[in-house]
Order: sequence, then structure tokens, then C-alpha cells
Amino acid sequence: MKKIVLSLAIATVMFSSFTTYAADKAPSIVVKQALSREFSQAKDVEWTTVNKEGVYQAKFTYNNESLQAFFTEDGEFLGTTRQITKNQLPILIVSALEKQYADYRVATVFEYSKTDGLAYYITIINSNGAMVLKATGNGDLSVFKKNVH
Amino acid sequence: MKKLFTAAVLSSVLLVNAAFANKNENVNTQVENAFKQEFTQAKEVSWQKTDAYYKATFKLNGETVNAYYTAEGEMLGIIHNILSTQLPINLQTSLRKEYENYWITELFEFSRPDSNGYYITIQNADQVITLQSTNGSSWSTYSKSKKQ
Repeated sequence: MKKIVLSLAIATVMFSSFTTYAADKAPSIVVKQALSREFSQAKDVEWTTVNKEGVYQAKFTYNNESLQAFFTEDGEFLGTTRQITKNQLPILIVSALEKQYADYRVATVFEYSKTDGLAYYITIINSNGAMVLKATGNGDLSVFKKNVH
Repeated sequence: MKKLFTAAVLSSVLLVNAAFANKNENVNTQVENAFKQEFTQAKEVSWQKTDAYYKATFKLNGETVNAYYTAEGEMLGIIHNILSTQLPINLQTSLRKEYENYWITELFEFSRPDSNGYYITIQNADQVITLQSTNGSSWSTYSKSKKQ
């Protein structure tokens, strides 16, 4: 259950309305080691905490990309988010978007990689407003958030 | 049929020995309709045919894509060559950690109507390995061979 809550919290962080806090205590060595283990070449690391859930968020540069990785206080790796382009989406998602949301344009795309799976959060816009879709690699789309401002 | 197709297409892509006849073959209406329904924004479409299936090559969102169909219009799969930076981040980091001294010779996304996967061929001085990922999170070995 806790993992589902954390997963939702992390997903929501992508849309910035969810609060992150400057880490009021430095992450333990266990957490820092966990980051090094997952991303040995991470640069420019900044730590924050997510909504006081006991989750540390590391923002860093990896392979010239800006990434966010999430860890529990015990150093358990929860997942990674990164902003990508529409061209980086699996082709089934691109095809589904063009069939089902032809009158929208894609504003932002976030990839959310967990140790056990992968999802994409896509903000689309038309003249009526914006919404966030959740997509899986096989092209399944569902509405994650309506009426985004 | 689908399993046979998967093996046949992967072999043809990985070994680059697909025996296609002429380009720009005519396709029957069933195949053409199925294609148009699936890829409403496809551009520069051309068709090739083998005994077993039809292959459409086209541009989608600026990318070159191949889609495969039976003669009855059933979509069997899609092949899309990609760059390593287009891989999900977990797959990129796993490659860097576990296959640091290898270089990439082939990488494509292989999608079927109900699933999405990635195939990568890497090699070093001694061996050639093809890895597959069907969950977007981790790799497993698809084939491995020693260099002659």
C-alpha cells in the first residue's frame, strides 16, 4: 500500500503542483550510495524530499540529461523520472495518441521508470484545455488528470 | 502464427536476410484498410511482400517505421530503429553497468498489438550478444555467440 502511495506521489511530482522540500536533513550515506550504485556517473546532484513521505528525490545530470531519482530513507531505489520528447515514446503510444487525441497537441512527456515497470505521463492541450494521460508501452492510454491549468 | 511471425521477423531483422520481392507492391483492401486505421498520420508509405506477410515502410512523426500484416489484415508487429538515448532510462543504466565494454551494432523497438519490447545487439572483441526487454525495465539474453 505504501508503495502505491509513494508511486502516486512521485507521479504527481512530475507536474510540479506536488510539494518538494529542501532536504531538512542530509540523506544518509546509504541513500547516497544507492544513487551512486544506480547512476555511477551522476553529476550536479541536488537532494530534496517529497511531501514529507520519507522519500528522497535526487535531481542530477546523467548522460547529458536531467533526471530525478527517488529513494526511501533506507536507500531503496523507487524509480526515475525524466522529461522526454514525443519522438522517444514507444510507437504504439504515438499511434494511439494520433488516433484518439488527434485534435490535441503534446505539450510535455515524462517517463516514469520503476524497478518493476514503466509508464509515461503525457500532457496534451487543445483550445478547450489541457489534460494529463497515463500511457503504458503497449499503447494503452488513460486519463490521469483532467482540466490541468 | 504470431509466434512464427515473431521468430521470422526477428531473424530477418537481426540477420538482415529478409527475402522481399519488389518494393511498392500492391496490397489488398483488407491490409490497406487495417493499416490506415492504425496509422492515421502515416506518410511516404511503401509496401513489400513475402510469402508469409506484408511489410509497410512509412514515416510516422518523422521516424521511419516498418509494420507487418497478414494477408487478412491482421497487424503482426512494428519495427522501429531507435537510438540508445531513446531507450527507457532503466535499460540505459543497465547496459552501462553490465555491458560497459561493449558497443551497440543494432537497436530497435519491436511492438505487437498487445506488447512492446526492445532488442539490442552488442559486441566486444570476443562475442556478439542480443538482449531483449519486454518490460522496459530489465534485459534478458536473446542470443549469444562467439566471434569467429
